[in-house]
Amino acid sequence: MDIRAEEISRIIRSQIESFDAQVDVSEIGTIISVGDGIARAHGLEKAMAGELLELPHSVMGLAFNLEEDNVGIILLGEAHLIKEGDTVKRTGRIMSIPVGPNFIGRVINPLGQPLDGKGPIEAAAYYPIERIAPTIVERKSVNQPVQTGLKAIDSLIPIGRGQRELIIGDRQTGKTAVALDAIINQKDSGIICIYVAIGQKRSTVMQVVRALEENGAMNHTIIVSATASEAAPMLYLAPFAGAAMGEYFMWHGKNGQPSGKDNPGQHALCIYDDLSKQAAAYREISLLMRRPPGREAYPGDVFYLHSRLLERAAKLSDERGGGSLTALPVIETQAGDISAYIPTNVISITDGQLFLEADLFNSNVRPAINVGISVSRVGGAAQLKAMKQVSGSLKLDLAQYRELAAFSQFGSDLDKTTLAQLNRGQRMVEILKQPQYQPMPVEKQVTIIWTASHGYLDDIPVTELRRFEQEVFAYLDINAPELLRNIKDSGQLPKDAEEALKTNILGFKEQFKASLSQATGA
Amino acid sequence: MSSLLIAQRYAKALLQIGQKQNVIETLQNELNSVVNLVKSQPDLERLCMHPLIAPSKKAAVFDEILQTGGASETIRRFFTVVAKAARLNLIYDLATAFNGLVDQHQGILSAEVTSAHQLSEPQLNALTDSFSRRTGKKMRFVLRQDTNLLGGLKIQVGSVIYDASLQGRLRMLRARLLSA
Repeated sequence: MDIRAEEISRIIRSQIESFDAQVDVSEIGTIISVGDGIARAHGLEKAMAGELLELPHSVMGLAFNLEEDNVGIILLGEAHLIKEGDTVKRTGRIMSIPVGPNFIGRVINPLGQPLDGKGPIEAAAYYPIERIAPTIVERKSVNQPVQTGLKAIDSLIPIGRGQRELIIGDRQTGKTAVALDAIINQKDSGIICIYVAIGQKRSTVMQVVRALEENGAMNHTIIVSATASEAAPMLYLAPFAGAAMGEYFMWHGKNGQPSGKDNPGQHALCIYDDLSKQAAAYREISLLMRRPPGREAYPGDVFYLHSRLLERAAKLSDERGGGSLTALPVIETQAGDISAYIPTNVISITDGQLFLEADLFNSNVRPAINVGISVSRVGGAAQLKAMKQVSGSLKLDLAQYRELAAFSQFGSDLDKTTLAQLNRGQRMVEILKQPQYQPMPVEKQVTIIWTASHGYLDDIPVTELRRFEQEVFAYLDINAPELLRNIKDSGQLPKDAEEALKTNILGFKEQFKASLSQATGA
Repeated sequence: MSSLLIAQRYAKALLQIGQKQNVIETLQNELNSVVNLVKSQPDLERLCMHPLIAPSKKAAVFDEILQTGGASETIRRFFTVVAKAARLNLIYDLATAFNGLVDQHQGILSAEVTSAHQLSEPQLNALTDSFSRRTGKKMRFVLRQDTNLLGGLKIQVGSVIYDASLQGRLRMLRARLLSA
């Protein structure tokens, strides 16, 4: 950079010369009590609900409670610096955070400040943290898929762009793993992912960042982090900040201009991990503010808290550019109790849920998704034709298997059809297993599910299925790459492709069986 | 409920009595002299504030003091009600609330004027004129001096601050330069 000192002083001089100070009119209040990250102020008669307030030491506050003779303020930043008698100033602004494409690949806090030590971030715009969700006319029904790369999800519980799909389960059932796999799989899909970590350990957030970096997924990901060590207001605001981040991409095209008919909007995927901690933080603030406690001591508006957040997920109409914001909220249950207050609330708000179960997890079914009770209410419309075609019989086979599995534990004499169904079911369950950080492209998912549901795996031992899967993909990549490409591009599996797939699978199976008998024979 | 809110209720009642009997000013004078008396007598203040003395006893003692002081019947009854309700500890808030209500009733707006140097008579008159015109109310200024302002004035009316001081301008200039 080459700027002479003379130049600088000229700029400053012109600034000073053009400085025409008006009488500064501001509205103030006086702090009457402070503590636990909240403060009460007298005055501020015209303060608005949710207004940003300015306190000394560049601490900011949020007008949270407007009462007859005082205003309840939640403090953001170094609350311990605030003392009784300090003045609070109105700003007239609603709280907003910087957003924009420069945030991609960064780790930030809910105020938009960088936490990763990679320098300041230039904002493209400022978006209010609380924003009314898109209206009915601005929306369109979900019609494009979000490929998570997980066979169990993409085949049975498909997720569409703009959908809200809850991930629910006990601790240690792989909820975050499902979310991370979904992020990793968006490498080439153009979906920008926002991972909001709420109330997690700093070490966990660091592991997430590292896992994403190692899998090359940080290039399309923003991480909003409000860890357990931060005050409750940060945890409460974090998901809203994440949603504001995502909304920017939904409403703007790749060129940074507002999206419209000729400027398609972008797609964003927002993961709130997890909303039970946010609800707890909100409960903490509400109780400190003396709002009356309700069920499980949550305030009365905890439903509204989550509904207004998740309502912001949307698929925009073509007139608005067709951008989308998909939400994957995460809820942690206690001992599988999904009838607790927050889980039932969020289940009723979302368009479906993925149930993760500890029993399945421990019996090595990973991802531990219970496909029986998991649903996706709108994703079916967005699913690829080819996938829809092969997953129909998968659903049926699995349902029959579950019914028989419990029953068959008693008897030993089973008729042939029952045995065949059990056999098929075991293989289906095995096929849906998938290691972490290894999302699978949709065309490969289609082929393996097609193979299994057409019975071509029935004579392969269950223990060998993992190896079969790996090798068949290697085989297809070499011998029939155009077949896979066709499925991927057209999204369909026509009759002739099915025939070609069949010959290829049978060809490979012969090889595989030969290698099997060799191994056992030796 | 905060103490100011409670005091407001009692003050409003007293004001309404004053309006009915048309003795607002005498009531205000009496109330303020009682408050000054309490403020000047540590023993009396302790009596008012002490939480362990029974309200009825407080009422009796207070009434006797008021009687010897020659207070009006209304004020005596008022303080008996306040004392029996165990609200005598709010006496200072009561006075603030009552004075505020009387000001409001008489259309007087109180403002705090902080200036770097003492204001001259014509300056003060100009200020009063301009504010009376702007607000349509009679102004009462509480004057203060603060050399930190460097120059100009700062006027606080209720929760609104009009900052025309040099200090404020410099602060604005700094913010402008830093953001440029």
